[in-house]
Amino acid sequence: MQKAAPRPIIKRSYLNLDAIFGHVFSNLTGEPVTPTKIATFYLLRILFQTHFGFRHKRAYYKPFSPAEKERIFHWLYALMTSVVELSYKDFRIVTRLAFDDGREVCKNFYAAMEKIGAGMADVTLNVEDEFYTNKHPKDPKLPANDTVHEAMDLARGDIIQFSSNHSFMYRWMKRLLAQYTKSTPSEVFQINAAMKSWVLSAVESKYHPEFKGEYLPHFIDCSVRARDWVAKSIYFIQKNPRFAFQYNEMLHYTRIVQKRHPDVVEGFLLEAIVQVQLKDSSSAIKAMKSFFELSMFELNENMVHAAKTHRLAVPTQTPLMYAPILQARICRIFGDYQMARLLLHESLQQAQLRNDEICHQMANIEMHTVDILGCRALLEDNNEKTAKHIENERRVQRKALLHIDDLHGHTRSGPCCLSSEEDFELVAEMDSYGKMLMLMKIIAEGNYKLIYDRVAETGITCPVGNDLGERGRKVAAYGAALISSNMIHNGMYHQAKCAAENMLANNCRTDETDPFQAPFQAEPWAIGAVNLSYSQAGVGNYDAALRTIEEMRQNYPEELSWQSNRHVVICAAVINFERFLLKNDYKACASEVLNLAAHSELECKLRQALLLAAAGKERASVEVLEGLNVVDIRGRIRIHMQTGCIYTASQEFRKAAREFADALSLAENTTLKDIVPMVKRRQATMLMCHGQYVECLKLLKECNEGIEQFGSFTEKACYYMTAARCHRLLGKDPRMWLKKSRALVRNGQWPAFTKLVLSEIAALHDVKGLMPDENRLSQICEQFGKLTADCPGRCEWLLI
Amino acid sequence: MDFSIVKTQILNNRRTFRTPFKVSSMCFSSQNDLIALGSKTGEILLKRTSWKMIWKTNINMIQAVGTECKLDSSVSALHFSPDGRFLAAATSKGIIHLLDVETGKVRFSVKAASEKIAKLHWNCVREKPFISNLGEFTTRIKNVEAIEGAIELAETTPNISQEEIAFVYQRLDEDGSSFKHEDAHKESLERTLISTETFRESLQNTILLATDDMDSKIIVLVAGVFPYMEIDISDTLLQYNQSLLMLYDMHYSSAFGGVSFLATTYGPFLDCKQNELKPPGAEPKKDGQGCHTLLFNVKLNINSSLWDTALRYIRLLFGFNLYSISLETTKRNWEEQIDNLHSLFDTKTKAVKIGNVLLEMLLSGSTDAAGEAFLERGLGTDGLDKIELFATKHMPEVCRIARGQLSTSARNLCFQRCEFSTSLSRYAKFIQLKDDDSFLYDEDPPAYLSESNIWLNTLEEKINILDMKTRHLGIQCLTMMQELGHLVKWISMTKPFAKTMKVNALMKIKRMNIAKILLYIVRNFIPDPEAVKDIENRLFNLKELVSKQKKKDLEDKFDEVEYLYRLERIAEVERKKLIETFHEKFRFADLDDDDLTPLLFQELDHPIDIFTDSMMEQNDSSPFLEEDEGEPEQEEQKPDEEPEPEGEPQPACDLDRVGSFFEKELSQKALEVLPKCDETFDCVLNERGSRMNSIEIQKMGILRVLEDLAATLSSPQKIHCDKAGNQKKLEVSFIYEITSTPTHQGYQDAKISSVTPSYYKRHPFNQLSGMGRSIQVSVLQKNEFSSIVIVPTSDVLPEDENEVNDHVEKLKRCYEFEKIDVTVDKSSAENRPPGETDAMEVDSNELRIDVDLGPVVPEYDTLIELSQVHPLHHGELVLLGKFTSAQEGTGVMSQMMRSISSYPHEIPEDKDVFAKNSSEDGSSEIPIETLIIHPTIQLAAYLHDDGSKITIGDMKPEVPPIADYEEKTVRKTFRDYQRRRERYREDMGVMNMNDVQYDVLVQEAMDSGRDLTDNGESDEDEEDDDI
Repeated sequence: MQKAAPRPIIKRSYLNLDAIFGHVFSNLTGEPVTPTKIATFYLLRILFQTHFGFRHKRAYYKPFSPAEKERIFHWLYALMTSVVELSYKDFRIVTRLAFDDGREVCKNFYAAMEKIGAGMADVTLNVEDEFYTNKHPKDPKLPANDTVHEAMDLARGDIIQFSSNHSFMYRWMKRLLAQYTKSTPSEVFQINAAMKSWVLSAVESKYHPEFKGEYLPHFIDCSVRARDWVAKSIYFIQKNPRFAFQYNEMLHYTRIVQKRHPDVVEGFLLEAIVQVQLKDSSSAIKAMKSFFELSMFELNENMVHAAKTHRLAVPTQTPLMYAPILQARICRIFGDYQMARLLLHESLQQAQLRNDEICHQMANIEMHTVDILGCRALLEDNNEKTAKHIENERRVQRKALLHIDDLHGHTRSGPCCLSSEEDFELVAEMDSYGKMLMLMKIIAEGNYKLIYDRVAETGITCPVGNDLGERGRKVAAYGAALISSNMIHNGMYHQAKCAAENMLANNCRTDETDPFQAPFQAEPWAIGAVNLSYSQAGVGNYDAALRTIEEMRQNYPEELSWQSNRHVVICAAVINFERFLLKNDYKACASEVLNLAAHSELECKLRQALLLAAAGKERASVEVLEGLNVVDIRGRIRIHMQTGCIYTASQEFRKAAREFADALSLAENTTLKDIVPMVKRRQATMLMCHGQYVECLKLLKECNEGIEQFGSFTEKACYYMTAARCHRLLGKDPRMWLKKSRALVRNGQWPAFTKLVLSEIAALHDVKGLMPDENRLSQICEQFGKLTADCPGRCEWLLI
Repeated sequence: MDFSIVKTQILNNRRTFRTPFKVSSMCFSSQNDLIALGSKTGEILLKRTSWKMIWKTNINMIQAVGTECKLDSSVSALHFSPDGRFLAAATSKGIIHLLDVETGKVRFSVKAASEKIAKLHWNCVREKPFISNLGEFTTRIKNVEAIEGAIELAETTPNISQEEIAFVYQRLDEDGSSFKHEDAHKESLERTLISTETFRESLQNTILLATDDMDSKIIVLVAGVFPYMEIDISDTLLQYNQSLLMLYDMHYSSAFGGVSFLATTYGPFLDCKQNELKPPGAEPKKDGQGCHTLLFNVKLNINSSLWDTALRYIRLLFGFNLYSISLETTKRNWEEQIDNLHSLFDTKTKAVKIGNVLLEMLLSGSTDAAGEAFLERGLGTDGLDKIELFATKHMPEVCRIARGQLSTSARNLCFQRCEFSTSLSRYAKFIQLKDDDSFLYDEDPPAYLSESNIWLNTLEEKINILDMKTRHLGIQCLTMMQELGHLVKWISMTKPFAKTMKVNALMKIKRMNIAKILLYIVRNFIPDPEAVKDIENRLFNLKELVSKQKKKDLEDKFDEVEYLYRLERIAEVERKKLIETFHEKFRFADLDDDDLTPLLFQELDHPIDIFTDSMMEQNDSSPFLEEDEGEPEQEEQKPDEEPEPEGEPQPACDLDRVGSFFEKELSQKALEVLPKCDETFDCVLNERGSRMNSIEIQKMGILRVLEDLAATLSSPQKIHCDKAGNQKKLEVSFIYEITSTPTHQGYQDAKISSVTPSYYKRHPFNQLSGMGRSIQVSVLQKNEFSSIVIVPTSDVLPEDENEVNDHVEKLKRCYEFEKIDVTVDKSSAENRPPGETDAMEVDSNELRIDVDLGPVVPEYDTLIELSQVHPLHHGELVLLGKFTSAQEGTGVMSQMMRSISSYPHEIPEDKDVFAKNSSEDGSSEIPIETLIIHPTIQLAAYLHDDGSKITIGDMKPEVPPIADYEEKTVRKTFRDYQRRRERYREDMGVMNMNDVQYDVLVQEAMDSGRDLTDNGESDEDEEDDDI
């Protein structure tokens, strides 16, 4: 542990902490005193006396051998950690199991219990000093310098001691005693009564600690456990909400914890998190604020100072630094980027004042996140930005640390982390996130080529140390989700599928029984699953894609985690839209678009425009597209492409050419793998419609490789179609292309397209066509007829 | 039959050198003046033809994926890549290495055959003549190859290399600072990375063929690296009821769309349609069976995705190497450290059991003196520090490697595997669609690749397992790290340490899961599994024990009152005894002795005697414990008293959760906390999770997975196997009959070659469709030889047909003798010089070899037998014949001959005139053992004296086919090019256009004559080699 920085003594009146927390001892810090625990205590005391003796009297029996003692402590440990209250009968069985009739342990224990039951004795939880010292006091009858006693003491030196204050048992006892000693007489009376009824009741009587009429379950019946419960709950909400309590239930218990254990200030943090999950931002911020207000003090470590001021605690400025970050995060989650930015600025300044590197880094990361999410000017003044960028990147991109001491200029000014080991992990995690944020930025700028070895890899394989909080796996998943998304972004569907599959299948659980080791179910994994679905749809496998979505719906329901569920909703809408569009079911398409509206303006408007154009309202469709204000470069290109396609379909080739030229000039500045071929393909289609077949063919040849490798299912279909028609019109053999199209579109995914292919084949084998063949022609015509009967409708492939 | 031989000087500047080893194979580079020699011991030597050594290396030390280093393999065949940048070297163990010609480093190794590879043949894929594709670039620019190269490069090299996305490699240093990788490993990794650019420039568009020693298989290596296809010759012949007698040569020709091989077979007479190049019909030409020599062509379609596949194959193997090297390093370091850790917990005595000591210490805070002594002194703060060091330094290191280097390369493997199978399936689709019309016309077109490929599936599965295992290793490391960390923390709070460790105990205990640590100690430090179960039950299953006991009580009709009475009785007895002890007088006299101890112990021992005695009386069964408890008291005490019966002492503890990952099978320890894969998405992931969770897969160690993977990776030929593992039938696209006369018994030698090799890009044949990609087949028997040209029918345009036929006719040769007895025509030698005499510039610094001859030089001037044929380009031939001399007792001598005029023959009669070498200086000839000829500059090298001497000389150039072909350009030496290239590199950074330009320039220079002599510096360092 690091040495605390010397603290300046500030001579001014503090806020009255006592007023906030009342008397320190009034809080429940120990174990609640319950009958089982009292019984365990009595048993412990009897065992000690059997081993050691009472006061100066040595025990009649020989002290326990190490093996015996070990066994005894196994039983004691089991009793001490028992979560449920044992009944007296069960307790008797335990003692009988443990000691049977040896050394009168059972007899003594029963006697003590029956005494209490009979009202002959009160509960007293005292141990003699010898318990702590393991030394026999001198018999008062003996003279002062009794040599026998001294000799005996000397001889006893080798004999095994019963306990020491460095043990589990000792800590348990201390907590029980602490609780007992501060009990008021009336409470002692209650304890006595409870004990009495416990002993006397034949059936299993349960003792429940209560607070203001409310039953306190075991996990929050004392502040130690409550703190533990809060920590666990926070952990589970982030890792896998399935294993946490229901949100409402959790909120209920949180309230109890807040009232009952004012020292467990984390209760407010939990509340804030739960409120975020319940989409109640104002309550969340409120809870967050209470958390930081209450944590604005820490135990006074400076004893001189404490003696002077008579205060056990001092206020700390740490929350001043960290509170804005968390609050900003809530603001960011709910879309208030302006507020978030302001708060983060504050935090940055505080961190700089206090020279706290961790806080600074944390705030920086958040700031970048907000910038990327909320930035509206990615496309503008690229030159100016790069200059700024380098500086920014240096702030968040750092060489991997091997130890926290490698961090330059960092003095810990607050108890952010309890040990430097944790500091190190935190910093490493932050660094990793920073690196990946930069990746995200690069991706948003339309770069496929990422500086992987320097950034992504070190980011993904975040070099944390012990990794108690599974930071490494979280970071790795974050990176993997990012990578697979980028692959989808670039049309690498097979690769994305592979990456997503690996991610999902290797979401390991290390221990079946331990919920702590459950597989993750957080946003990155949801994104991984969504990407799997996209990659399946990208190659035309809609059945698999829909199955995946179904699976996701079950695993990421809205009420569990709306953040993850968002992705599922978007994914379902996008894929269904495409599916319905291919089947010319525009009504269904329109309803899918509505699902998108809440999540992405761009995606929604693009599809709306497509629908409008398909319905023949080209003008309106172009207007929709022109009205879009997009920051993402890929989005901008897509708008141009879409507009160009609509112009192509409405025979306005000049305008279309201009749009495509715009798209191409944008696309060529990116390193996206699939976008240039996509633009070129549309350009080629346009040229073909315009009758410039040779130019078209040249373009098609240029983008062949790109489309084959990175084209999506529909993209390929359109490409083959263009190529086939172009070849036919130029008098070349189009059969290879037609074969490819037919082999691509199968199982009635796209009946209209199949019809198009058939008519193309028919044109080839027509009497006036390139390869007149009547048999073939009739065969094709028959197929066409069948298909038209099943699914009427024209193929609007020029639009895609 | 106007075959005649004249005597003239064929070889100029002949020089003889002693080879540094017995040469087992040799090869000229077609692009440079380089000769490669291979030895029986695996050494490869690259020399300039002026005998200056470039490098020397031994390839036996380098293993391919899935093989071990074999020191006893020899270099069985060598061949340069078409662009001269790589050298393929095959070993007698079936491995093919690609060496970088410039550095001599092995860049790639693959196990291609199970046994010795006898022959290599590396061809370029040649699309239809370039000029016709180029369109507007048909102007006669001097440096047309350079432009061609530039355009090719621009078309093939993408602006981004694809693998950038695929998690890059060079992280060896970052991950492990104390786990140092060996430099040799690192170096071998670095050098085995063939960059995408290099691949596209040199390897793409080439096909390397290799035959194994038994002549039973031809292995087709796409791009020289990817053993894509294996042609089982007997199998292929069996389709036509032929059996193999002799296999001569093989050749890849893109014009014929496949791999051709020349073989003499025995079987029915096939109906080969010579002019249409189609597979023979079912009906044989005539009845009966006979011996024939046929040219078979096995179909091999080339599509751009196939080159991608080959590149991905390189990447896969690289990824594999990276992974296995990292793993090996980690393993080596790990074993040492885990032993150190275990030794810390060794109490060195059986009386003190570390497990029990720890448990007791943690629960009660005290244990017996010996135990405490061990903790305090045996382990001590130093020991604790060491454990902590292990947990905070060594473990994180392993963890970092597992999560960094290893998982990166595992992910890389996944990515490359995916790229590999995607491009392969693109290729497969192309093949499937190419000839199948049902896709076009059937109402329900057949499914693409209905049966998925088993080999690919296995590959995917193996790589997935590897990825999973790597992740598990990482998690396992973490678990172990956390366990150790907690243990250390808790131990440091026990009494012996609390004094010295200045810790805030509360601070440390805060984040400890005590139950977990207890469980950890119980399970790992107590060797007896029975005892472990017992303790675990007591510690953690109290409720169960209680309910079990309740049930038992019910069965036994347990009477608690009775039990209480019993307790009472025992107490009474004890009480009485106690009172008796009070009556006993204290013997004060004993106090006089200084030694008090016996007395004291006697007194202390006393109650025990009573205790046990009374117990024995009271209860005849177990006195202290119930039976069903298994009497652990007694059990636990027993080992203390008597030594353990087993000879093998059980180790104090086994904490190693990680080590077995480096082995073939996971240990029980590792399996205990082995993570399970998520099965949530199983129905969309092909049941992957549950498959991964099956016991067999879980038990696999990484080493085992790696071995499996290596076996899979090194046999990609299995792509062509069906489910049962049988090779699919290969398609023979045509068979060409060379001869099938009844007397035919096979040939002495036969060769296939391109009429116009790929480096003659400007030869007029290239402009003539059909001729540019035609092949020449030359066959030779003892007393006959012939050479014909086969033209790909699909290439020939109708308008060129006559011209092509004319050329073919003129190029054809056929000589047959009853008995060869051709005497060299001495008179003609003076009359008809075969060409210019000073083709090569003489290097003044060269050492000339003057051999002192005896007084009588027998003149070997009668050809009695032909033995080898070496086709040069455009129908020209070099023959090796056996000559005898008029003098008696001189025997025969192998000598080379070559045709004196090349095609087109200026004087038609010259076509049949061959020249035999005669030495100007009157020195005697040497019998030639092996002959190789440089394909472009026509340098000849032959071995003699059992492969210990080599003679190199240049053949006189032929009459140039085009007038301006010989036109001398500015003379540039090889050195100049090298310097220039270095300058380029310095200026431009890495490999780019300039290398191609450079190559093209060198090539151009060589094509137009011999001006690559090294006249800059003298070859001082080589003088030792000279005779």
